[in-house]
Amino acid sequence: MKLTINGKPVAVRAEPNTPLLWVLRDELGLLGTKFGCGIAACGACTVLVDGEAIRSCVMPVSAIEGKAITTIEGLANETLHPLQRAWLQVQAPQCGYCQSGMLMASAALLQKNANPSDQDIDDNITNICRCGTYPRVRAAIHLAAKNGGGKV
Amino acid sequence: MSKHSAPANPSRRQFMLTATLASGALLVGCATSSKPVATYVPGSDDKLVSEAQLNAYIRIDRNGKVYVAIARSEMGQGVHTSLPLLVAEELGCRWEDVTIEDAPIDGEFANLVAASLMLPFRPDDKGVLVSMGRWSTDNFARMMKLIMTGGSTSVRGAWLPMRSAGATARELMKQAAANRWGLAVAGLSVADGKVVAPDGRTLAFAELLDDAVKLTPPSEVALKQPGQFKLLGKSMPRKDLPAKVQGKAVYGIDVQLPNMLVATLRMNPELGGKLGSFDASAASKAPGVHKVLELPALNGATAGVAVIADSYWQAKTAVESIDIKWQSGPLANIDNAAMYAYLQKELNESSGFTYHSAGDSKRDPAQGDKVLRATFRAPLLAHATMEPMNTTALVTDDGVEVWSPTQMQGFAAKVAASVAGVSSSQVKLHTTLLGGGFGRRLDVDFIAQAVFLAKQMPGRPVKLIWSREEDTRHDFYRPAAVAEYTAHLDSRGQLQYLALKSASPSIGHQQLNRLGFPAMGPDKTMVEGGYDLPYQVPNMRFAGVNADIGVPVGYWRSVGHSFQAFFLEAWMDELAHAAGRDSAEFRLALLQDQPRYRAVLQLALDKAGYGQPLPAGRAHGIALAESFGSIVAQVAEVSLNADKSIRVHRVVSAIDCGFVLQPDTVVQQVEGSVIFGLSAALYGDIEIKKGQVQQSSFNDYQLLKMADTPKIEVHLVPSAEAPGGVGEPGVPPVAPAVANALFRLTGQRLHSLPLRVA
Ligand code: FES
Ligand code: FES
Repeated sequence: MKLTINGKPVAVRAEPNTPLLWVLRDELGLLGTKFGCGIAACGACTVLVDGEAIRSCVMPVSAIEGKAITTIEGLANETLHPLQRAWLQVQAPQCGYCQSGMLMASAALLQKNANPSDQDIDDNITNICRCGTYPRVRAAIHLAAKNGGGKV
Repeated sequence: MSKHSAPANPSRRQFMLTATLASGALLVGCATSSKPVATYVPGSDDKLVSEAQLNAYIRIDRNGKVYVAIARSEMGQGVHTSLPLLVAEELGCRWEDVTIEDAPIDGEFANLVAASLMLPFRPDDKGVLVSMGRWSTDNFARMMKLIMTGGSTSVRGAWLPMRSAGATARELMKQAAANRWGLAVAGLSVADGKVVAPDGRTLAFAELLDDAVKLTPPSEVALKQPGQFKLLGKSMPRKDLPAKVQGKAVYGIDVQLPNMLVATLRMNPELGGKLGSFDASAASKAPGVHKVLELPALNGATAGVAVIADSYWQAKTAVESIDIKWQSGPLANIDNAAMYAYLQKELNESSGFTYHSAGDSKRDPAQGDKVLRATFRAPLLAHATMEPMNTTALVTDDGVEVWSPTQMQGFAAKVAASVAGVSSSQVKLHTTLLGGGFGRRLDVDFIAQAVFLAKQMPGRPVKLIWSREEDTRHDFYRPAAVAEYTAHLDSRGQLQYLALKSASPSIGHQQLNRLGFPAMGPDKTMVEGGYDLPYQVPNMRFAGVNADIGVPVGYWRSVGHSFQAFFLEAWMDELAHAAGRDSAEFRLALLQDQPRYRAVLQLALDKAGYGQPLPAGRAHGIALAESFGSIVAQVAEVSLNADKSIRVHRVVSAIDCGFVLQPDTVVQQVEGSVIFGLSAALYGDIEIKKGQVQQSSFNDYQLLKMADTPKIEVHLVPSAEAPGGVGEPGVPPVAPAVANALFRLTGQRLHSLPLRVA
């Protein structure tokens, strides 16, 4: 199977029904995308498929053949993505385990909505953070939006 | 990997004498006064020092890089920044030059503060008994190599030793420079990794290594006063965050090694149940599978079956396909109702151990007294760290190497050695980042399992990853508790008597048993948050009944405080109401001799606008609690939705945690604690049926999300006292603050968690 991940074509050997999450982690060594639950309940495994945030733990790799996948490793270009900069500015992460997923879900939100309201954030960022970074994640999304984060 | 040599003179290290000089500077006897150890540049004829281990904590290399040994786990609380800051502040190096490395498993790094938490003393207890207790737990901790991260102890424990290590190394540098220049040490200063002479000449630390390693460290050093700090108190950006926003941080689950295999498991869904038989034939032939194995019940884990494969998904698919016949164990007939009935029965029938009493501890009510009584209840709770349990192990002829997101390094190494059948000197343990800890990773069950599996695959690293379902169903849960409070209010509304009897299992006993030790005696975690209360009441008694029905319990963020603070602070509110007094005024009146508590409560009240009108349908509730050396007051602003579900709009916290090293990290920890506390107060309830936990994942074990998160404000009380803990103290007041607001809204007194309005 051929996939496009972070702009690069890759070939994978995994069984077609293997969730994308485990192809990324175990076969491609892209470890930034995390395993939290495996049932689409937490968002730790969020990646972008053609710009949409999806939970990769329940996405069979065969279903996304030929689509453009962006993982946390592909979020930054030469410099950090405005969301990553905002994240550091407000010192958002604690343990950090959920943060790849938070960032990818936020990137998808900003692509669709360059200036999300608190309500938009509540509706779209449904990832779980056990450390309780929600107030800072919210602040960082607003900050990144202010800095033009949606236009990257 | 660590490059530490064993400290040279262990007996020297048993004492940490402190004295405050007339100048106000703190003089400490050096905790780490072993002689420096040099590593030489290979082949250098004149024996050039390539790096110098100046003491147990500090190594400096020829490029001026400073390596600080860290024996505490980074699980989000910022210790990878706050601990090296303590060293850098006193050493006088550049912060950019500081790197951290794993400390070795050595008694030097034992967690003495955590060990002292076993002692049943109250925060204001002092004197010979306390000193003797501390002396014995210190020795116990060193002997057992109790290296662990928990009890909000990291900064508290490091406050003197790591600053003293920095100061000792600084004095060595100054002495070396003084010798070079032929000047007196007294006139020299340090800045940016250099020693500076009065005339402005400088020598970098890196240039002084060859001389410094020949010197004997001073036996006493003066520490800076808070007013002289350059790094502490300033909110330095956390060192672990850049990697964490780029997906580059390495957690246990991310360990990658050449030739590595991945395993997963299924344990008997009945806690403590046994493995009957299973048919491995199909799973063994599944793609990528190397082995299907029986997993014994190790260190508190339940027995099960594991599959070792090339990748997680292969192992997971194979293990799910196995037909397993389970056998019932001792908890087969236990459900929640039976557990609570047992706790209630023990509460009624046993007098328990008295942890604190004052005045007439069995007081009969006087004439005209109002006698009040209530029974409180708290449920089992899961830790639900975002990163499921996992560990990687490699067993070879030389020993065992382990990579683990553990909070319990000392015992992890011991258990790895015993499962692998090697001596402790043949264990190499690497602590990865932790995707949350909250006390779950103080247990070592998953480490024992990983080593057990790796032993079947000699020469190949095996990474064991639990599924979320196994993680939820095989936790060591926050204990359920049933407690009864009694109080006497006299006719003037004064509180004359307060008595608690609380029944719950001892976490300490269970955990010691899991580690292979016998256990007995009192365990203050059953009643902490009650017996150590700050209020002045003339007659009191606080008793705990150890009632253990066998459900596995463990340390859960804020431990006993997590339920006792709810019992006490909900009860105090009820008493205030019964006395016809305001909740805040009633508490403040009982805190006449407790200025720190009063100041914290007052700050929270002021910032929240307590007593001022709120929008219709909203109410304030307050709570105050000390835990782990810090005092937190909270004011929650709450309303009820039409379906009677609870909406928390705003939580204002004030905290006095002594001197604040990293103000923004403290704010972050309290924010997180409020959210953690709300998940428990509003939703948390693990239910057992036939010995099996009914919840399995985030869909049925609900946690707070963005949309439910209130506005959270955190205010710090300025203080020059030694630091208190910050990882946990924000959790205990949350539930009672919300419950007390609900009373004002509904008139209902909620005595059970999670909070449910009828
Ligand atoms: S791991 Fe995919 S949503 Fe939790
Ligand atoms: S930062 Fe720890 S789970 Fe979100």
